[in-house]
Amino acid sequence: MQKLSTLLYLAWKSVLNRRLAALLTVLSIACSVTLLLGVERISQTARSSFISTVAGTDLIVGARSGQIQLLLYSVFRLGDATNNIDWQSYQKIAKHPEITWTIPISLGDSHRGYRVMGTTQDYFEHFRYGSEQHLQLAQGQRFSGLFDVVLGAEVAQKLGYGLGQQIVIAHGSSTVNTFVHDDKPFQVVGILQRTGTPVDRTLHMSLQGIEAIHVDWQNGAPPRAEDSLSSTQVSQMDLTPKTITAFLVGLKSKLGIFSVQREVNNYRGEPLLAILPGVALQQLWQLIGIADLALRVISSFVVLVGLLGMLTVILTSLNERRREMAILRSVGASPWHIFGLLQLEALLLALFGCVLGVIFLYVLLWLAAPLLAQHLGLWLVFTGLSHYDWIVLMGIALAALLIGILPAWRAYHHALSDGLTIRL
Amino acid sequence: MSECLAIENLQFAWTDQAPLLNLPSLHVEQGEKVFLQGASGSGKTTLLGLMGGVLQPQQGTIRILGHDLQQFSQSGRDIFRAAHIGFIFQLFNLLPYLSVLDNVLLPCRFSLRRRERVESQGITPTQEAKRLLEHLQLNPNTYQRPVTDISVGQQQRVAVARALIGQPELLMADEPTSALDADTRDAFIALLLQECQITQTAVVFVSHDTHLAKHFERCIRL
Repeated sequence: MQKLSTLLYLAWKSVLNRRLAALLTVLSIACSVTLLLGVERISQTARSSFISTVAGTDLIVGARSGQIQLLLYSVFRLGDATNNIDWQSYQKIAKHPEITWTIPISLGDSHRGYRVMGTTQDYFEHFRYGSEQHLQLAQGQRFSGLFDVVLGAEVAQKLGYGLGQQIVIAHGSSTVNTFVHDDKPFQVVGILQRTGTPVDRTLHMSLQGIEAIHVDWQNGAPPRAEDSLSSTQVSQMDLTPKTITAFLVGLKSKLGIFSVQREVNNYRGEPLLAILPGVALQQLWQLIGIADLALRVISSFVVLVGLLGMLTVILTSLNERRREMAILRSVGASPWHIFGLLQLEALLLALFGCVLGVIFLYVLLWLAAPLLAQHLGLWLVFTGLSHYDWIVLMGIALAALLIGILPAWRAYHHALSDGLTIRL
Repeated sequence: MSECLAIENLQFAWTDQAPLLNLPSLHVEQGEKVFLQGASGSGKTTLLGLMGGVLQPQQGTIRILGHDLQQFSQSGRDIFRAAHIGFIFQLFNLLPYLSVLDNVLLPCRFSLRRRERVESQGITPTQEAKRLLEHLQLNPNTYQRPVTDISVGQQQRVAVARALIGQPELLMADEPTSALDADTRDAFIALLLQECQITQTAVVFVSHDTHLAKHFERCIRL
């Protein structure tokens, strides 16, 4: 112990003596540590934000297709449904005794690239995201009239819309729209608070509103001028939708999930698919997790580069320090002490790099948190170092020791061959 | 007086070279002051390496305080050297990143025996280091300064203090005065020998400069 503290003391003093090179080495290790841990933090946050895009929903039901496809269009507003669900089928299933609530959604139209979604008041009552949060209105109120629309936060912000704004809905989801429902304009009555989920990029209206703009359409084509109906005419009609795109289901008890899922999947009226959103989200994340892995591999290499920089600094210092080694030998240091001295030096540099890197990480997270929340809807959680972080840090220290063997071994051999003679 | 250093039939060559050193016999009694004179390249420094147990002779024996250095393991020789031998070199004796005082304390950090010998007198290594530095006429306000701040003559005196702390039985000096001018040279040697006299430390002083031989009891040519 006495020897170890002596070596530690000498290593420390020696590093201090070469403080500029040491500082640069520590900085490069620190930056690589920050990158590695930061990538992990952000990917964790992105993952949990992704996984909690829907919360509290037990099942999502749509026309039979793939699990991920259903998830993509019903939750992420990506891609299109292959088929719709008959309104009668929906009504029938919604009455299932295990089911507490359902949220029907009807997709297909858009406004300047943002998807329009028809739904009911139940959406505001039961839809949850994140850690079971309900949607909150930032301004205005829920839609109640036929031509009312409630905007997601991003839609309002990017398009610069406020309450009372008149907008027209385009048919289909393409941004280059050929058919525009310009005969039936909608009015913005509410704007939702930011959620960091696809809700921010959606325009919400009633199912009846969706029905109203399509009621005079014939076989998927816009009406001829003489057949088209005005907004007032339409509002007199029965606007119960004939079909919806999908619906979200909340159950009385989680225990019922699999039996209800089975019943929906075996529904005789038409081919339907019920999925567990959590499972489907996990599966989808695994698909896009490749990018995540690539980032991690790259940042691991950056750490390696940092450590190799340290190796270079120590190795180049060795020659000018042969005299120092000879002096230490003359006062009683063995070649193994010299070896240990250089190992400790590598360890010290790596440890300082790690400590500084962690400090950088928290400063950076603190600075970046508001930006990430505002622009990407990612909510960084300030937690201490995780188990993973500690393993990474210890891995770096271990790698430094392994890399440090090279200069230590060289110094050991110098010490043996030079002895007390300083041959320069 | 008993024997401190005994060398018999010593031969040493660096790899693939003609023997550099051939020393049939060398004996130094305890407390004796010996001047070892040899021209440059006569293997003086190599001899110090051999006597310090850092180099291995191809032939012959080296006994220090009755112990054959060849009988020790590598680490055993390191421990033995640290405990019983103090070294002073030509130049650059000191670690540039330590203070004067910390340089003097180094042997006590590496050798338990030398620390214990200081402590057996009822004083701490730091007190002993300060005492030695004072004896060697170093100004107390230099003790905490980096060694790069003081003159070469002062540095060599710090090296003497470091070699003598913990009372090693043998002090080996390799041209310690070559960087000093004539006046300070004699004063330095006088001070060195006076300190060694007090502690009864044997001295092997290696130099090419025959003028210095007058300070010593015995002069041997290599």
